[in-house]
Amino acid sequence: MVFNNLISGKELLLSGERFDVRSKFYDDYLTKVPNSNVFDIKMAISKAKTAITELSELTFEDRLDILKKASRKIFANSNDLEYAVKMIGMPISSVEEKITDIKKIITTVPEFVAKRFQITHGKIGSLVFNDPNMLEILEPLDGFVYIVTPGNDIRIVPFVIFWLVTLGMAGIIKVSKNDLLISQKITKTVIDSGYPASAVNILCWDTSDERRDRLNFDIIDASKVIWAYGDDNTVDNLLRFEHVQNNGFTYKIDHFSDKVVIRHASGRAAVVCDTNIDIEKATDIIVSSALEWPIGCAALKAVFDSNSKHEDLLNMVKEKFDRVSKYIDDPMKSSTKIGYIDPTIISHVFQRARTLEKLGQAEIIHGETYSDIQASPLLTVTKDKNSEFLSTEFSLYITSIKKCESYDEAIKEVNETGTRNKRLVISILSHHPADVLKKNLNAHHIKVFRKTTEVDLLFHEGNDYVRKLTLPQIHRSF
Amino acid sequence: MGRVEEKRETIMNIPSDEKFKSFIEEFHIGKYNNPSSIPPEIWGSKAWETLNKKSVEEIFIQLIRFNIERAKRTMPIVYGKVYDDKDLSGDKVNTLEDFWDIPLLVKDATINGISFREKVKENPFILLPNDVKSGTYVYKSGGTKGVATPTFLTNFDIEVEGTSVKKCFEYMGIKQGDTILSTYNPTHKGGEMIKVAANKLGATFIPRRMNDTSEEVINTINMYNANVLSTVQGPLEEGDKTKKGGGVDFLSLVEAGQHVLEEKVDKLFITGYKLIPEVITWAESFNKSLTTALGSSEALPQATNTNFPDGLCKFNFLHILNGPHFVEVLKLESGAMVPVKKGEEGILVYTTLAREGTLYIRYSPGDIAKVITNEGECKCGLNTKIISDIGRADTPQDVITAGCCIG
Repeated sequence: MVFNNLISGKELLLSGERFDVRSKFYDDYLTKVPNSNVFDIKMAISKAKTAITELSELTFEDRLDILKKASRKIFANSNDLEYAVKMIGMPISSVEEKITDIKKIITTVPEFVAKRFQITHGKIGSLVFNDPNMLEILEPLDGFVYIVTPGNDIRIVPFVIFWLVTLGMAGIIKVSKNDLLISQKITKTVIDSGYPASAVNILCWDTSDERRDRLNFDIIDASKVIWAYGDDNTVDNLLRFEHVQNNGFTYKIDHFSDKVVIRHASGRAAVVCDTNIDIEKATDIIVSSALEWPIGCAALKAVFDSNSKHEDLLNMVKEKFDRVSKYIDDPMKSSTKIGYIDPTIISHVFQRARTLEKLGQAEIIHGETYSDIQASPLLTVTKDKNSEFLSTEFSLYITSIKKCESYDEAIKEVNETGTRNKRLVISILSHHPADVLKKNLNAHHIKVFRKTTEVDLLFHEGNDYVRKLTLPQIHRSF
Repeated sequence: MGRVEEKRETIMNIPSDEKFKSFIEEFHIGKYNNPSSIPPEIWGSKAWETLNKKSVEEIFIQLIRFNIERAKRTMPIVYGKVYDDKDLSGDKVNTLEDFWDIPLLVKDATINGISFREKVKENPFILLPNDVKSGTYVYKSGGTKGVATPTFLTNFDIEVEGTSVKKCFEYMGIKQGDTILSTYNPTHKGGEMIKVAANKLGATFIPRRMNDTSEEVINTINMYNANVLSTVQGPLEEGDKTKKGGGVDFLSLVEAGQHVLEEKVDKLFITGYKLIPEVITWAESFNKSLTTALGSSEALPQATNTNFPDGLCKFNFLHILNGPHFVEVLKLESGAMVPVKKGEEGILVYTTLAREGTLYIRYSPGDIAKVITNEGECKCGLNTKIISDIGRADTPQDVITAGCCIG
C-alpha cells in the first residue's frame, strides 16, 4: 500500500520520498509512507492559512450540515479494517467498534457544543449574566491548528477533524506512520461533504530522519495552536525546544512561547472501589475498562479496592479474564478478543511481573505469554502501594489490584501513586456519588460507576476544547 | 555552406527565416568577418539550432579565429603572453581540431602558481578589451570562491544576449502578451537579460523590488495576473544560502501563496540551479509548464529547455544553443581537452562568438555536465546536443591539467 500526503484534498508528495512501514505483527504487510520535506510542509502551511478566509464564510449550521453529510458517508471496507488491525494489532471486532464510535462522535461533537452554548447568527456564543443584550461570541482563534497524533487509536484523527469543522478552523495534521489510511479517508469524506479542502491537511514523515528535524518547528512557528498527543518529554523534545549552536554557544528556542497548546499526555486510569458496592457491576466496569482497548490512554491500569468482598471481586475479575482468554487468536478473526501487542512491551512487563512475584512484592493471578506478540490478560495483585504496576502506563492487556483497608485509604493511595502528573481518569465505584465530589482526586476526569474509557467529548485532560480554541468577543445591544 | 534544414522546421514550428538564410549566404561570402557586424537579431533566430553540426562549425570557426586574434591583441594580460609563447594565432585555427590546441582559461586554476582569480582581483580591467570605445556595464559572477569575475558588456552585447534569451523563452512557450514576474536580482546579469528578453518578446515584465517579501511578490502576481513566474530555487539542504536575489525563492513563494501560484501562474521559469525534484513534482501536480536555462554572467544563455511535448529536452535536460557562445563539454584525452562522448561527463567550456566586451576563449568556470544525446536525437526539432547533470566540480584544477592562459 503506497501513500501520499493529502494537501488541500489532493494527494501529493513533493519530496518524492517514502519510507517503509512494516506491520509489527504481520511480517508480509508492508506500507510505503510519505517522508515529507520542507516543500510539502510549506505548501500545507500556505493552504491552511488560505483556508481561514474561506472558513469565515461558513456558519455553524453550514458546518453541522457538512458533518451530518459526512456521517452518512463514513464506512470502513475490508481493506480499511485490515490496515487498522495489522498496524495496531487490536482485534477486528474492536476496530469495528471504533469505526462505529467515529460515526457517532462526528455529529455528537457539534450537537454537544450547540447544547452547551447558544448558536446565534451562525456563531457559537452564550449570554453573559443571562442578559439577552449581552452576548459572548466565541470566535475561532486567528490561525491554524497543528495537530500531532499517535498511532494507537483510529478515532483520534477523526475526532480532531470533527473539532476543526465544529469550530470552523483549519489544521495541519501530522499523523502516525501507522494511521494513514483511515485518517485520509475521513478527511476526504469531510471535504467531499463541503468543508474547504485547504482546511484539513494530512502529512507524514519519518521522525527518525535527521534531515526532517526542523519540519515540526516550521509548522509550529506558522501555527496558532499546537494540539499534541504524547507524553510531555516526547512532545517537548520533538516539538517544543530547539537547540541552536551559534558562535560556540548553544541556545534553546521555545517554539511554544506564543502558542496555545493542548496536550494529551496523561494515562494511567484507575478505579477506586468503595466498601459496599455491587461487585458484579464493578467487575464489568473493571474488565471492560481494562481490556476493550488496552493501548488507549483511558484504559484501566490500577484498581484500589476497599470493598468488603475483595476476594470475591478478585475471583470474578479473574474468571472474566479466563473467559476472554478463550478468544486469543489472530486479530483478523472476528471471534478474537485479545489481539497482538508490541513484543518489547510483553517481554518487559511479564519479566518484571515474574521478578516481583519472586521477590514477594506481587502475585500473578492471571496471565501467560502465548507468543512474543500475544499474551492472555495479566492480572496482578500487590500489597505494595509503590508498585510500578499501579502507577505506570503499560500498553497491553493488564490490570493490577491493590487491596486497601478503607475507602479513604484507597483514595489516598490512588492520589499518591498518581505522581506529579495527574491520572487521566479515576472512576469511583461508589453508590454515594455526592460524597465523591467532596474528595480531592488527582485526576483530570472523575467518573462514578462508569468505565474509565468513556470519552468526554468536550473536555480532555483539563482542556475545554471550545474555550481553548476560541477567543470571546463581547456584543452589547439595547 | 550552411543550410537551414527544412525538415526540422515543421517539428518545433520554427518558421522559415529568410533573414537568417540571407545571413548565412552573406556570411560565406565574407560579409561578417567581424562578429560585431552581425546584427543582434540574427542571434535570436531559431534557425541556428536547426543547422547541422558541420554547418555550425564552419561559421563558428571563422568567428573564433577573429576573436582569438582580437583577444590576443586587446586582452594581453589574459591571453597575450600565453598565446605568443605557444605561437598561437587565429590564422592557425582552421578546424575544430586546431581549436582544441588552444589552452583553457581556467577560472579556478592555480597551475604553476598563477591564478586567474588573483590576477582579476589585482586589476579587473584586464578583462576589458582595450579596443572598446563605447560605455560598458559590469556584471559580476557569483564570487563563490571569494573573487567575483567581471564581464564587461556594451549595449550591443546586451542586445545579442537578450535576443538569445528571448529565443529561449520562445522555445519554452513564453510568448507575447504574457506577464512575467521575476524575482531574480535585477543587478545580476540573469535578471537583466530576463528583462531585456521579456521586452523583446512583447511581454509585460514586473521585477521584484529588492525589499519585496514573498507575500508582496504573491500580491503582485495576484494583482497583475502574472502568468509567468521567473524565480530561483536552490537545493533544499543549502537552505537560505541559495535565495539569490535577497530572500525570495520558489519555496518561500509556495509558503506565501500556493493558491495564487495555482490560480494565476501557468509557466514557471526557474533558473540559477539544477531543477530540484520537488519543483518538478509541483509543476507536474498542478499541470504547469516548467522550464529552465543555463547561463552565467560570463556567457548567457548556453542551453535551454523547450516545451515540445515529446522532446527529451525537459526539466534538467537542456539543448546546447548555437550561439552567441560556443559551448563544449570536454574531457582530457591524450594531453588535449576534447569533447566527451554521449553518456560521458566533462567540464563545461565556452568561447565568446559575438561580443564587443569581455572575450572568453575556451573558458572553464568550473562547471561540469553530462552529454545525454548527440546532435539530432531529440524529437523537438532542435539539432543540438542535450546536456544534463550540470554542477560544480569540487576541485576543477584536478579535472583540468591542460593549461591556463594567464600570462
